[in-house]
Amino acid sequence: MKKLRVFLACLASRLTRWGIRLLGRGGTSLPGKVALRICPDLLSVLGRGVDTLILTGTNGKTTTAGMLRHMLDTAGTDYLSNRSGANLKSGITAEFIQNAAITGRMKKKLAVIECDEGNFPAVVEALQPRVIVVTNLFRDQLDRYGEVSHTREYLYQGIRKAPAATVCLNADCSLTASLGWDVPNEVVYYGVDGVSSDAEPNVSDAPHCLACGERYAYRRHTFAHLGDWYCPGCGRSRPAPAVAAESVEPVPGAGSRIVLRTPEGERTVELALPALYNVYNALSALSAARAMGWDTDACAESLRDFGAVFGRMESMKIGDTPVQVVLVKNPAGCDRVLEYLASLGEDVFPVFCLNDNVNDGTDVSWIWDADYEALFAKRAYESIGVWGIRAEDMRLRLKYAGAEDASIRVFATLDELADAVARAGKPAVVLPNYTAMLTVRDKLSTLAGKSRFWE
Amino acid sequence: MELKICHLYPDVLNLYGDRGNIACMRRRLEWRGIGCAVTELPLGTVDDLTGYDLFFIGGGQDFEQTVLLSDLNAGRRDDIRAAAEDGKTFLCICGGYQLLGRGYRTADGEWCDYTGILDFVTEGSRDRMIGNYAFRLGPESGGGVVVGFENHGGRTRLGSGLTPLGAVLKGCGNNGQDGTEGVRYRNVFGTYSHGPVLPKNPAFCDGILLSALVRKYGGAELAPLEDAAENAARRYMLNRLHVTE
Ligand SMILES: [Zn+2]
Repeated sequence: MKKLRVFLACLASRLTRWGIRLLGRGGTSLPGKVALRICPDLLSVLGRGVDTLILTGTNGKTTTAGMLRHMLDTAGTDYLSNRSGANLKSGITAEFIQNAAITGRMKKKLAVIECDEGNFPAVVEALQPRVIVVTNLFRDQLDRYGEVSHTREYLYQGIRKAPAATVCLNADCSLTASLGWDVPNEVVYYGVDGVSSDAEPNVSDAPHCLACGERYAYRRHTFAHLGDWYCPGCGRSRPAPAVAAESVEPVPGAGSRIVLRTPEGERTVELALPALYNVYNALSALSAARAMGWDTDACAESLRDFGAVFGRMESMKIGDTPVQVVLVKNPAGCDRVLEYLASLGEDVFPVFCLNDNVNDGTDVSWIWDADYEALFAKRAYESIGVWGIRAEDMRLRLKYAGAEDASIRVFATLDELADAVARAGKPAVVLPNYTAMLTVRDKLSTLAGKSRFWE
Repeated sequence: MELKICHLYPDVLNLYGDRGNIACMRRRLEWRGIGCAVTELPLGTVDDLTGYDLFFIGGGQDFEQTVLLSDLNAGRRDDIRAAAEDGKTFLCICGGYQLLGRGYRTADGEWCDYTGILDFVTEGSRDRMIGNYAFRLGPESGGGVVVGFENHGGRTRLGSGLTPLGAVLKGCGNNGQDGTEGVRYRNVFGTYSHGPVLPKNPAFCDGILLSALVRKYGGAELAPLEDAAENAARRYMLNRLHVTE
């Protein structure tokens, strides 16, 4: 009976996928939903015997997963991974079905899975991963999960559902590190030792100790609420990281040079991506790889030629115009991207895109927590574009941040946006949030002649 | 002319774009050549509140609101009450609004004393009221339509002597049942609307600023501003909610 159910679920999922393809649509969760309707425990059936690594957290999931895939690709190891970013239980199930025979027998024995925070307990329970990695916790999609402390609770519940898993946690994020306080799991912390920023963060997502309510103090900040934190009230503090960046040296135009310390020794890592947040992504990937038992040296070496992952930061050319698309979806991530935008000077055409679909979070008020003021204190642009369901809110935000309202062009359609980008006569930098990115990228990459992402 | 704005507990109550309300007030004063000084008073700072003209208290997470109570009990509660009774202007959003009331009963039945400055009570529930919404201000607050975004589990019921800030046109407001939204008492404006509430509602913002200027200088006028971007964003949401002004 069970076998029949699994067979029917896999079959229905495939038929759904073919149907969607025939219609030319890119939806990636429906085949999984159909299968789970027929066989609710399908994911745990398929996941049995697959060595699984699950990543979650607010920022950096996709980049970290990309680094891990790159490590496996470099080593020539076969695996499955939800690479289109479909990170709900349905999307993950669909990915497993894709890599199974129609009988439900898995063709791959290793999985790298990126998982949404809200779906994390259910996915962990079903897959019983060997390693769990949490990148960080920031305010994001507040209306979907309520509050950061609720999101933390999801992760805590999830970890408790897999007591045999090794858990890799960001020591510098007090919210993430606190997940290790009271779990039976083996915990490995990672963090940045050799960086200290003198800039005070303007929005702290985790000001108070979760154990006693006292305000956290910092010996050192890296960015946002990350750093060497401690609680003057109860004495809890940043755990000493087993996997640490001893020092981080920016290499202009190339990325960062990291001195990595693990219990096995020290080595230099050349990371081909710029910015400190990518150093954190590299540390979460390396601590996960180490916990999985992969060759850490070879993994570290592979980061030398790791390029940007779909959507996070992507470059293309439309005619002669260079276009960069950078995903922006919460204040902390946005501030990093705005710093990058400011570093490019004023001879660029910035386009800000804002949607409020369910997958974006229907509450767009986070744009007021991001520091657009810092950008317009430094830069004035000849022309600025805005587009998306909430384009007018974006325009208003930019006006109050100090942009000249007369310089802002509101594009009513994607065609207008694409046309303006193609005719800008200067490099364009497009900053969309999640669903805006899906459509903008689709449109621009068609013009640039790149493949659509679900193919 | 100048307004001294006090942002209370910015370290704890700073969710949902609250900084946007401060930015909006500051800009709209500066564009008219009126001075604006914003002072942030984090948890635990000791300061005399009598020097300020306008107080802003934002929204926060449930956990963080309990952190506040010891600070309020250490004397700030009385200072806030005195300022409110003195006719000072307050804009209090979501969690900051709830704090003005007598207390909060959690979904599990646990009671938590708040400041009791105003006679209302909030009851928690597991279903959150989330979404874009609109309400019409009472005549004492200008009578215009306000658009915003609400996200709260708490259901607030005003005591019989209290006037709501407005009447719900679309969405839930105070409790999703009696059609009221927020509270208006003297120059205290309490609302569930974040978004933030002020940028898309320039008339509401100006009304709040005017109440503080009148209190301070006896009389004041605010020159009209070019509100094209404000009105475009506002119109978009009014249309989407099928609400007419
Ligand atoms: Zn503590």
